Amino acid sequence: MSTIFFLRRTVGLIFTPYATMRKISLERKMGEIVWIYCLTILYFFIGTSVHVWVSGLMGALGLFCLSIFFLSLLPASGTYIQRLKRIIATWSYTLVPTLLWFYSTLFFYYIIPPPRTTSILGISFSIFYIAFSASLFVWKLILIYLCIRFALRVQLYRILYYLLLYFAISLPIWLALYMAGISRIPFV
Amino acid sequence: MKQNTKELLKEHLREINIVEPNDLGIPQLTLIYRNMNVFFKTAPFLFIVPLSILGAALLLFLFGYLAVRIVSLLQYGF
Repeated sequence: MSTIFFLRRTVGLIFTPYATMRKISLERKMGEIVWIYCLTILYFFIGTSVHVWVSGLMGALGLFCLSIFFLSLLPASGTYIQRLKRIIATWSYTLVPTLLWFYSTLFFYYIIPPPRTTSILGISFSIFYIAFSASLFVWKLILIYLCIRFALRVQLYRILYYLLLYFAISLPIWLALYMAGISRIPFV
Repeated sequence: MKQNTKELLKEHLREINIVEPNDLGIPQLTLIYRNMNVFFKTAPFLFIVPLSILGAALLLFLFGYLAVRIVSLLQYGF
């Protein structure tokens, strides 16, 4: 049953992100977001060699927990527990574009291995890949905006301020993970 | 049935009103924001995908080989 709900919500986030995220923040069903965590673990398991998959997963888990912790500390309406539940439910769904990007990049890596060239096929794929990545990135930004909007129930200026604060804190962490060789592109 | 519809409508109204409408302080700015917001509330990919393709083509036109290298880097970056 939770699988159907998860799929419905994922499709909803594509076609009606605003209404779907609002519903997620209201219903806060923890059963369906388990699928996101399972898919994340599966990605790290199949995506990397046995040596690094644990560190990659730990890095992703650390980033996820830090994001939740950071958002839960921000002033918003409702009690701390209510807020935390809303944040966990909505923030977990912001991982859907991330998962989609990482899975598809993994797929393309095996189907059309890099490096890309300046041949017609190479340029065509480059255009497709940049457009695909940019679309998912914008979708991700929309979902993060909606997550803060409905989980913390704040206005636009405050959302922008929180986002700025979030990126200012996250950038050094992402850089540290890159330097440590855990993740080249942060799994957020 | 009528009662049920009324209850559903009340529930929907309650759901809609969980957050206050955005007010940017300046009425014109709020209006622009609301007009733009419509595109992102329902089927945002209708706007995102064409803009992304245009952006990617522009990037490739402006930076050429650098954009192709970015793709290689991204492909190695997972």
